[in-house]
Amino acid sequence: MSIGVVVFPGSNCDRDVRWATEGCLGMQTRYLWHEETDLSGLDAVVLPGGFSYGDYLRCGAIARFAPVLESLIDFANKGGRVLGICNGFQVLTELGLLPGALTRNSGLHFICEDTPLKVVSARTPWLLHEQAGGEIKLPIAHGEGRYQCSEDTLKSLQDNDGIALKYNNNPNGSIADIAGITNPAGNVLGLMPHPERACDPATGGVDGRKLIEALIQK
Amino acid sequence: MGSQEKGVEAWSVFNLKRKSLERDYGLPRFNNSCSEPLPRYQARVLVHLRPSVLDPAGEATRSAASRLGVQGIERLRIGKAVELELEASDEADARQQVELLSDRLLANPVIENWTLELKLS
Repeated sequence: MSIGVVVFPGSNCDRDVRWATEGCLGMQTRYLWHEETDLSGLDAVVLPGGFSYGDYLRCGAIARFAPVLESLIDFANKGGRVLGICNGFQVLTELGLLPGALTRNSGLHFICEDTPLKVVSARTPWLLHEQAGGEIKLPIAHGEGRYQCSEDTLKSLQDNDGIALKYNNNPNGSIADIAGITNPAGNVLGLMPHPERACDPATGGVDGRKLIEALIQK
Repeated sequence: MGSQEKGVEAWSVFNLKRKSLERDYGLPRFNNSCSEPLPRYQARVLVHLRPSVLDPAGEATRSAASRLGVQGIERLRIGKAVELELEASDEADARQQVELLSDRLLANPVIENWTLELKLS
């Protein structure tokens, strides 16, 4: 069981993710440089936070064309688990693996704080260990995390139980308070909060541990 | 022969020489059998947020405008202008290329619209 952490030029949470998966949770992990295309032997791939390719044009817009992501589409379609955190979530929406888009926070500020979140759906492996309606606390750190989508997309997310997490206090103006969503199959999760920063009891609590462990849980 | 005519003659000889050079070296480049250069086009793509999407940066700028003393601005939205030059066989081809670029890269249709201005360079 092995996890790949994609490293784009400008990623800055790649090592945080590896510290969580390998350092805190003892799961075998390797980095995937953005030019790699071989994902064989991996059970899960994490797109970490940061500013891929400087986030020029739009967040995630240029990362979408990285060679590693062409392989990632096949990987996801075959059921491999894909977790996009923060910038990784933005990349997943640009790539089309998840619907919608992430835009400038309504209050314009970059927000860096612990945020209480409501578990909306425990349908997918990511949140199987939680109760729907339960609460976890994860840190957020973003300037462009306001989730936007059309009304049709919102309805299909609601109908397909695709909303995984919502903010209790909606710090960025996201539509329907959305903090994280999954694809219909449930193997792809994108979220703005950082579960990898809530795995080490020395820094920021352990509310993210189960979600990170779900990368390789059957 | 006046000096002006001499100049013209010298220039046309130079051009002749240049033409022969082009014939020698021009054709094999890129294995291209077409010696005529493709026309160049200038394009400007204006990308703006869809009207339904909040533009907090535009709102902040609008409030700064009133602090400057410019009153009466009811709406201010910020977009991007992307200017590019490209070679294409004709205007329809150029338009097709830039439309593809705009749809797939320059704008995200979930949140943005775009318009295109295109002219021969």
